[in-house]
Amino acid sequence: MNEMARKSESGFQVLARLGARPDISRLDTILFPDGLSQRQVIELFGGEGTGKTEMLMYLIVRCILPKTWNGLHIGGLGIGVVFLDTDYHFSILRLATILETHLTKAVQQNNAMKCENNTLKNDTIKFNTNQENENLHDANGDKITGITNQTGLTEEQIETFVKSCFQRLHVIRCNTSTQLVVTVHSLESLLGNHPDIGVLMLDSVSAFYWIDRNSGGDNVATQENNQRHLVRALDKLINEYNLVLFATKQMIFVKRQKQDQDNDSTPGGYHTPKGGSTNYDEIDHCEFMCKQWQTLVSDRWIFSRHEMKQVQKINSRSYIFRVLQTSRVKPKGHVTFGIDDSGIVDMQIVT
Amino acid sequence: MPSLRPDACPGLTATVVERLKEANVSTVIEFLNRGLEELSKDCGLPYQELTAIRRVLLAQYSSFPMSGVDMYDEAVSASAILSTGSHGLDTLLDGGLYTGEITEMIGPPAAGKTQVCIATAVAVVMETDHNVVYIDTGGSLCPSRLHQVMQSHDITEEKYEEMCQRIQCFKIFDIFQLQECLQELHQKILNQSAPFHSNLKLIIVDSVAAVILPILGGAQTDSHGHMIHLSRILKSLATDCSTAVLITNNTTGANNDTGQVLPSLGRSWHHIPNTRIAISRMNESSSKSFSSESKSETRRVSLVKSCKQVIGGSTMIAIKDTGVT
Repeated sequence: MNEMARKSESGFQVLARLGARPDISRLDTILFPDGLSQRQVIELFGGEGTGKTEMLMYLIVRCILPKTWNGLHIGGLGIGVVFLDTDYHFSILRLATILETHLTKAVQQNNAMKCENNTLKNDTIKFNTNQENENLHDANGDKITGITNQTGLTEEQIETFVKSCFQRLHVIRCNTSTQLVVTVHSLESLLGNHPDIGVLMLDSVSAFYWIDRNSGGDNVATQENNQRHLVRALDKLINEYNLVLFATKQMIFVKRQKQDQDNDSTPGGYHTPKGGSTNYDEIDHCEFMCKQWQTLVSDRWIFSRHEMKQVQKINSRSYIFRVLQTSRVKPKGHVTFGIDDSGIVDMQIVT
Repeated sequence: MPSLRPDACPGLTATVVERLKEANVSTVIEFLNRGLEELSKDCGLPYQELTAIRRVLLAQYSSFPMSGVDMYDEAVSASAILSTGSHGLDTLLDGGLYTGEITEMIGPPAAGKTQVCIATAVAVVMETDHNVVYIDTGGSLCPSRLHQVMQSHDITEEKYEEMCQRIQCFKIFDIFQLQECLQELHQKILNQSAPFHSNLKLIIVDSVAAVILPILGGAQTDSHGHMIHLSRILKSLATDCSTAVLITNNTTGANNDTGQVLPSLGRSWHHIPNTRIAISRMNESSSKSFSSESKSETRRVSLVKSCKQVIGGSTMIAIKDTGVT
């Protein structure tokens, strides 16, 4: 930014731009064992129904949940999220369900903790009673008088909680690739007004791939025009506002060898990759986006879905989802998870 | 890509457009890509003027952010779940067809896709006051069957007439007509001019494969472009107009070893629907417990893709004279 441009900004906007964006390093300990740094771009790649959008839901929830609420320890980050929806697979009601489950779990955990604390106190162990702990006890004390169900929360309380989380979420639907590019340019003002926003999501970056190809004529360069403009605009935003970008990319193409391998695998079984994971992973991914996008992406997660063997089935879930995390070319590790009504569950690092 | 036209916004006069063109800026996106200071130098236009133009262009061509709270309130008040008329199918779909979503039903020929469509259309007009648009692309909608299913609800002749008027049918045989027809519907719903359209909650396209398959192949980019364009129209119908969209698609017998059926139309299409159910006839081994008579009418329906539910569940439905149960 140059001198003249600064003049057009309000003091508040300058502060928002230059001031520190929220800390996202502790977004998730399983997915980011080494922490997550600002300006990282993570691409979520996979076929249909492999859990890409579900993973975004999980990450949104981690972000928009508060650290504490009414003295309860919730454990979220309280960060704002901008969700660019081009696939129209985003369901706010689904997100509300996941938030509710988290609240219920947090309340139960707090109750359990409280019991523990009480026994500790009875054993006359001096407890570190800092401000937060005090609040926690007060809140729980209030709750106990009004217990109606398992968690002791009324429906209004849950709704207030869900809405307070949704205040940190901004959803933008885009229906054409031009609209998407212009919208990314226009995000400056939203980001300026909301310094709490630290994460940008795009579901998906490949939604207009065929339409762009079609309207670009015979020249590949013109076909990729909008893609390049999009990447440029995103890059500028990410760097200027220190954001993290999560973008899904659909598996539109598949490499031949992969299909052959699929045919070989035992049906119904949860098959392990053959011939070393590196080999398998390279085969799984197929790039079709423009060069600029490939340079922008710092990490790629490759999603796949596997049927579980009868004996492995837990809670009627019949699929296990796998994510292979790679940074540019180097594989970093596998994470598996299951999906049920309350979102992503049982996330584990596979060694 | 929208180009910069004179008078598209107040500051954008013919001379300004000309100046910008000299600096190699002729489209909205090119304008936005350039730094304003640099642009101001290149074409000798005042910085302030360019800032104003930029602001207007952004407002005109961008989509507006919606706060999560507003979206939630709107979803709670405007969402509807439409019963398919079959209890088993409703349970499988977590209540029925959701507005704002595209539900795809796949199955081999004669699996009963059209029967489910007809039964759903009838159930919606009978049990709710919502209206239905039924787009038939394969010539498979049989009026006498529609009549038969309606009669089973035991209604008077007058009522029958009224019900029939609430299901609007279109016979369309190519993708361009379909795109046009759907866009027209979109406009009519947003204008809320006719009472029929303001109460329209379900759009059925039986089937999408019938119009897309003929154009696939050959110049791949063209056909895929048209296909995705159609999907965009369907998606915006579902979300902007808050309607439920039910489409049917064929299957490919891709994997004989695993017995897994895949929807036709290729990978790019696979990503489109929010929910997908697969319908199939019972095979010999699993239908032994049924009498030979019921074997022909029982179908297995399973949930193969969903953005909100655990997938893998399945249910049995029966296709009878009275509809689908």
